[in-house]
Amino acid sequence: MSSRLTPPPERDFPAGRLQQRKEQLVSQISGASIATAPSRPRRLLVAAAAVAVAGILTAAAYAGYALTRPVTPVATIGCYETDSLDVNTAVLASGTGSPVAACAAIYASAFPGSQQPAHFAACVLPSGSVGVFPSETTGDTCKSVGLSSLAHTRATQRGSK
Amino acid sequence: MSELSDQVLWQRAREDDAPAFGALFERHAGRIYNYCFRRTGDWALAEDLTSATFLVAWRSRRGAPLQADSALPLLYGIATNVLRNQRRSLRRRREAFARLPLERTEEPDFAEERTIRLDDQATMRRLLQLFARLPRREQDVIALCDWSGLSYEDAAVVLDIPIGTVRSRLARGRRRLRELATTSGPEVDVDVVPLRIEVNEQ
Repeated sequence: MSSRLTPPPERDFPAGRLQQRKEQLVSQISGASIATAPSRPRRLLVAAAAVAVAGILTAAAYAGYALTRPVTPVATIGCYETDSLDVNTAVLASGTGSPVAACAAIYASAFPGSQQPAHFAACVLPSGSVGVFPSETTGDTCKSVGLSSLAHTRATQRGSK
Repeated sequence: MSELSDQVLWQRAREDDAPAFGALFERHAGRIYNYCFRRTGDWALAEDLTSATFLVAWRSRRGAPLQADSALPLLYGIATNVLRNQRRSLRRRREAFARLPLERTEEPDFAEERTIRLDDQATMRRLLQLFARLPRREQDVIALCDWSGLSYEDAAVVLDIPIGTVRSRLARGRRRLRELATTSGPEVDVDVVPLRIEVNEQ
């Protein structure tokens, strides 16, 4: 390799500077080793804070969604075997059709030991759901069970609007 | 402390023994200092980079057991990475060192020594102008094997490449460097085109 491609010879690290650099280094790393312990918890704290912030944001987003989403009522219809609250009940999902028609349609299959009633009465249960009770007469079955009639309740609601 | 082997000192350093690490610094700083100078052509910068190299070594000590009897291959490897990343990290490290309340030891200003070092810088910068035209991987093997005297085996450890790759890169790099020297024409005046290490002050 020509002299042009040869680097200058090695030189000593100036002695005074070497000691100074060594002292600086040892001083810095001595402080760093003390500070090493909190550095990991600090990272953990940062991570925990990030998780907390993410949780809060998620909760806020869900709350916003829950408050503004279109309400989808998930009501049920209870089809009772007899005109009592203490008997077998078939629970149906509430649809757009008539609760009475829905219960009449499944009554025979739901309660095979019972005779298909001539009439049904739709009442409002304490939970707000609809309860359909068999009725041999067209009398006020709901009242006899201690409930309001669904038709009466709806009429009352329409009248109050 | 100075009679202990690198292995022992490194093991102590891994157990947070700062004076043991200081002894390693005293033992090897000169080699790393010259290596950094030959990669930058700047003695003052080489000092900073040497400190930075040892600082990085300290921070990575727990995950880096010595692969050899000497700590030098490990330190050369770290220095090579520090040199690669110097632009973005140098300012931060200078600030860190500047915060330390240590009195500055002034070196006696021997005019002859000063002149010699200025000449070194001029010579090195001329060489680095050619050297910079080589691919970085060839620069690394030449700087380690030819300029710092590392064996092929140690250079392979430093660069984490097979020994055969060290040989081939070295042969290719030497050949290219010779070609560049013969085709680059008259030497460039280094005062006109100085090598500059850019430190982002933003």
